Amino acid sequence: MWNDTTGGTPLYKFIATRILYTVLALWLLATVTFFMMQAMPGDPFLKPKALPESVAKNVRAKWGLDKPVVIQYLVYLKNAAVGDFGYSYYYKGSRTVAQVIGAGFPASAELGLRSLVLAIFFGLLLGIIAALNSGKFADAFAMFLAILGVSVPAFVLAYLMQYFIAFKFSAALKPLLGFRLFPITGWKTEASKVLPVIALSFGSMATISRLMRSSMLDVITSDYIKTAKAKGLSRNAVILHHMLRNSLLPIVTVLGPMAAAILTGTFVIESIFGVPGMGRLYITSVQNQDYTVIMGTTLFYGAFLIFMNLLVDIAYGLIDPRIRLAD
Amino acid sequence: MNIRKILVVTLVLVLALSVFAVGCKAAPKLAEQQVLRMNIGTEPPQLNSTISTDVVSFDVLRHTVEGLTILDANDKPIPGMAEKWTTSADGLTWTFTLRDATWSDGTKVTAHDFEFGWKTLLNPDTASEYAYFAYFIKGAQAYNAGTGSAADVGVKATDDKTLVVTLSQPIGYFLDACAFAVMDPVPQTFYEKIGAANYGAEAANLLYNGPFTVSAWTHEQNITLTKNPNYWDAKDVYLQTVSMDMITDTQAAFTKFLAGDYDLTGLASSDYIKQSEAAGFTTKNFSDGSTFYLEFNLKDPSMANQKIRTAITYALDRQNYIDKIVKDKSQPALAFVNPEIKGSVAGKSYRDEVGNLIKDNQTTAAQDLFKQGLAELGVSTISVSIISDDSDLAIQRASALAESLTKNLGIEIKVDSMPFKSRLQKMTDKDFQIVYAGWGPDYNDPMTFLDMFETGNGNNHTSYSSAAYDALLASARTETNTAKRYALYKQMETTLMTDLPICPIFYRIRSYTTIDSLKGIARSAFQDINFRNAYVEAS
Repeated sequence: MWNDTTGGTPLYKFIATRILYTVLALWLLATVTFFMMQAMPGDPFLKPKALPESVAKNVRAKWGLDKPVVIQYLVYLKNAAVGDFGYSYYYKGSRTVAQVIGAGFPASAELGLRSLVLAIFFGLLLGIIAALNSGKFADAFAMFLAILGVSVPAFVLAYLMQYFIAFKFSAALKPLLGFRLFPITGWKTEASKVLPVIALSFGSMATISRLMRSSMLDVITSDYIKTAKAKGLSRNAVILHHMLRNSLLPIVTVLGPMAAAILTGTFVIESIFGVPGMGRLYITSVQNQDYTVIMGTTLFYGAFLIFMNLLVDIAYGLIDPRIRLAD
Repeated sequence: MNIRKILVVTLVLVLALSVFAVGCKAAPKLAEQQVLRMNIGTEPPQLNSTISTDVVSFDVLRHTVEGLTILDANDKPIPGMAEKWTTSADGLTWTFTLRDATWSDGTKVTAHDFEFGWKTLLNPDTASEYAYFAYFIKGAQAYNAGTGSAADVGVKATDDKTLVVTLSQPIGYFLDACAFAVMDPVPQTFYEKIGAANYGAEAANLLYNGPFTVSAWTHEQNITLTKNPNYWDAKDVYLQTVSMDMITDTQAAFTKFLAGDYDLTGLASSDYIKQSEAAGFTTKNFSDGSTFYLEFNLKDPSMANQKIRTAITYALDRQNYIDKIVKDKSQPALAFVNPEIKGSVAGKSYRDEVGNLIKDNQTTAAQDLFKQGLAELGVSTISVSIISDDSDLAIQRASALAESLTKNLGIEIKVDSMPFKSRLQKMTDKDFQIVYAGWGPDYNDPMTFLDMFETGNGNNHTSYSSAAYDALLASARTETNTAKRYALYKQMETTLMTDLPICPIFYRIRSYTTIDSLKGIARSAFQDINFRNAYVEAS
């Protein structure tokens, strides 16, 4: 099966090439990020109150910021190659970049995974319903929801849900239930996970449903579907066996980057609902000019994205035998 | 006769009771649950007093680790770990006698802990950003710069209970400075066992001698403090538990307060003040000691002209700006040193003693001066830019100022907004014309506002350089007599407000609110929050 997928190329060669490209891509990413980061005005220790010369000298020496930029770059690469991504400047040496990202990733990944599953399930469902009822009310309604999902920013939805559902609605129900149905922030109980997951899934759900609908509409009018119907296959069999599988490819294409984006943390949803994820790191590391964390989050995201795309490529091969990976 | 006797006895009893009632301090009526729940917004990077620089770290340290002195609700220094002290006639040598106190692991707090803590702060290897705060100690600056030794630093533990400190210059705020977190004691054995990098990184990586201990710390989520039963003044500490969340989103945290999850919340803008008052809470205000102002770059040809700077300063209608734009209880600043800074005599502020030094809302006079300035420069108009941060609030405030100046003086002003650190870098590089800035006090003395205008000072972005000012400053640094020193401060500030390298705008007042039953919270210029003696009243 593997050789089929890779088009006859031996598996080991396929993997080796992939690894080489990955390393190359990550190296390029690291280099561009490093120099862009250094080009930003300011540095990790720039504060409203200027440090006296002697203090500034000590601080820069301790963190290696007094060396020329190229030397700093080479030192960084040398350490990164053995998995040492340094200490976060913001935490002043008490936590490493790996610890900071590692502490936040599980919550972000869980939030992302739950949202992704929700988005895929309902996105596909809505898209299929819309396509099968094309032109009728169900279609218009589904697409209305999709437009809403794409246009309304996630944070607007998040604030609205937090205020009306977690605060007002839960407070109203409290006398009846004896407890608050949804906490306003948090990520411990199952109840606390409902609202952030819905808020995060909305946008992706909308995108998937629109893609699924247009993809299925293409497939519905194709020849092999007519053949299948002519063969006498039941409606369900036609849908499940032929339509779905052929419509899925565009979805799978976007799923790679979409999954990478969602699973590595989203700043706004996490901060509104107090989810202890890594989403905030992308923003705060740049605001604080925490160089090591900027590099860490960029490389982490890059690696994740490359890995997701690899999964997508493999999925292609599995879904559609006509596609060969190593062509 | 019986009635007379009864009346006399009753009278005596009533008198006795009233004396008794007046003489006693009314004990607070305590609710059963003494818990405070609040949001601190972000996590302290770590609780290592020798390298901490942020408000949140200081808020936690203020309640868990105690220095020689502490500040009371009015920012006045009172005995902390030091029970009493004496000073030499020239004010340069201080001898502190420590009280009996223990760390949370049972070991005694000794004078060595202070000597070690202060020397670690100054150790160049620690690379503390606040090392300069202790430069008033003899030999401190040299040690920190690498040119002196630790042995020559003027802090010595002569025995377990006695700490002798030698200052390099007489300062009026030494006892206040001792209350600041960076001057906290550090137990050497524990510090070396845990290691410098890990000291204060977790709840178990720190020893506590303050009113509370850190009993739990879940990173990025919550810090919980528990009352320290071994604290020397435990009888005046009522709260049993303090829970500090780290919700970064202001609106989410405020919603939690409305829902009853928190007992206290800051009110970051007029929108929040409105929401809070609509929900029936009383807004409380406090001064955080900061002054907001415009900095002029004196190296810029347009801004180098003193008449133009004066025109801009006098043209502003500060109260109107505060009412319409800032929309809180901030006060117009008609000088630079914030009114929270103490004066030369007890009970008075420096601002009370000196009064206002500039004029406000003088459109005609300003326009005149402006025309004269233009004539001196030989131009018909000038066009300048104000740089500000890129937050909505900062842009709005800078734009409103620009608009009013354009209206009153006809100056073409545009606002250049940029990320926070970019603005700081431009200020450092002196690459600006006007910048909207704020300055908060490091210690309770006018010098904290005045010394940055010395020629070449790292915080002197204006490039202001006045030989007269520098001379006054040099004298003030060595003047031991308080009245004389404050007279010099007054002269310095008067010079500053005549030359006007800056245009003061307002003294900031911040707002917050609490649930009704929470009492005893203190917030002031030198203590962002102090809940040491707070309690929840029984309903």
